[in-house]
Amino acid sequence: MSETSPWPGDWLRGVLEVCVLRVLADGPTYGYAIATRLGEAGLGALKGGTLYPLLTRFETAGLVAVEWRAGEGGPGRKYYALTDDGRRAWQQGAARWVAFARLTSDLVTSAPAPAPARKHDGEDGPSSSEPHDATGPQPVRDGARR
Amino acid sequence: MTHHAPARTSRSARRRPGSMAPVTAALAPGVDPGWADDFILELRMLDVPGRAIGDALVEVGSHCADSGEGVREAFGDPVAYARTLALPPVPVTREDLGPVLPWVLPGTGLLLVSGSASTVRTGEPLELTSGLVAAAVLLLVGVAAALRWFTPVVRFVVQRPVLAWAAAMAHLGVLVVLFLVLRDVLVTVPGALALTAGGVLVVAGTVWQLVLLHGDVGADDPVSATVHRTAAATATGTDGRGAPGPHAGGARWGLTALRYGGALLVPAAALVLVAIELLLR
Repeated sequence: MSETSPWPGDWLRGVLEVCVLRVLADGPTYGYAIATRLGEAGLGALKGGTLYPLLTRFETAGLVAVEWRAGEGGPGRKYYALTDDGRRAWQQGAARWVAFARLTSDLVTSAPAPAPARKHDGEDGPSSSEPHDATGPQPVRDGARR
Repeated sequence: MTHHAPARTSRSARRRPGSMAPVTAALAPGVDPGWADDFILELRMLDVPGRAIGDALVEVGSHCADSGEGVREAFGDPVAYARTLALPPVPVTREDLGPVLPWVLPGTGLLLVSGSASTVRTGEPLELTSGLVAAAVLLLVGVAAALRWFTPVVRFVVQRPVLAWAAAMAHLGVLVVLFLVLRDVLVTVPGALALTAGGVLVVAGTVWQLVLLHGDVGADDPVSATVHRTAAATATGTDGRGAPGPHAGGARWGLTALRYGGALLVPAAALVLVAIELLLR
């Protein structure tokens, strides 16, 4: 089962919780509507197999209250509504995510420091300021090269 | 359904005995019954209560209906999905299974009746051998063990039916061997007394069971709870969330038979045994 999303699954896993909480902050709604809303927001098509375990975790943790409503002619729908705890979780999660996103954005877009004279490191010279980078992994440099 | 799930069919799509297909058709129409069977069974074996299982299945059905996706496409493997759902388990306890004594009483009574029915005809007393007592004790231990480890036993029976059957037969074999080998007589009881005692035990135990069954709807049993709701949905045209409707009709008759039928098997067997002896006289 593959998510059809423009974003790496690892990224989505990190941010999905707070995104779903944010959708629920608009008012009680059901699983498929949440998936549709996230898709419209550009996160890609979210599979039921990913979404409902998350909603179940919210329910178990008391972040949402659930209510069954009759569907139009179809089967019943389970509506999820944020509880006070859920609202707090959304606000805290959103604040932390913003801080995290700012931090990582600053990091990955920061200009590389001028290279100390190196013999040969390519034209765009993504050499690092770290003094002992000759053999170690260089994850930040990789991320910054766009 | 606009899309079709990948052609990989569930192992239970071959309609295994005890398939919940009618329940799936009522709660989650359009969901592959084989997928639903595996999903329901796995949740049941994770000790998820019946109501939560029904809710999860309805949610799967409504998501598929809304999205137009096949169930396997949207939710993947049923067993893996059941596990990632992480629904809070409520382990089946001894209390959920009902008291054991109302079953032990008529069971013992039936043993007495079967042992003494012929002695009434022949006029010989009933001889309680050490093998009979040992077999009875081992039988009780086996039943108690099955009740104590109920869910693991169910999982074993479902996953390894042949092995489970072999184990049950081996247990029975040991009982029979004990009965046949240990023939020294511990007590001799007049046949009429044994038959009367057996009859009293059967009747008392059966009445006790019927009273208990009458008071207990078994609301959280995965099978009966879902059937109750399905009957209610059929009768009232709702989504089956509420209490059973007043006009659920045939389904309710079936339920009544299911509910009380088990308790009436032992007295029926005792009657048949006695009737055979009377005919042979």
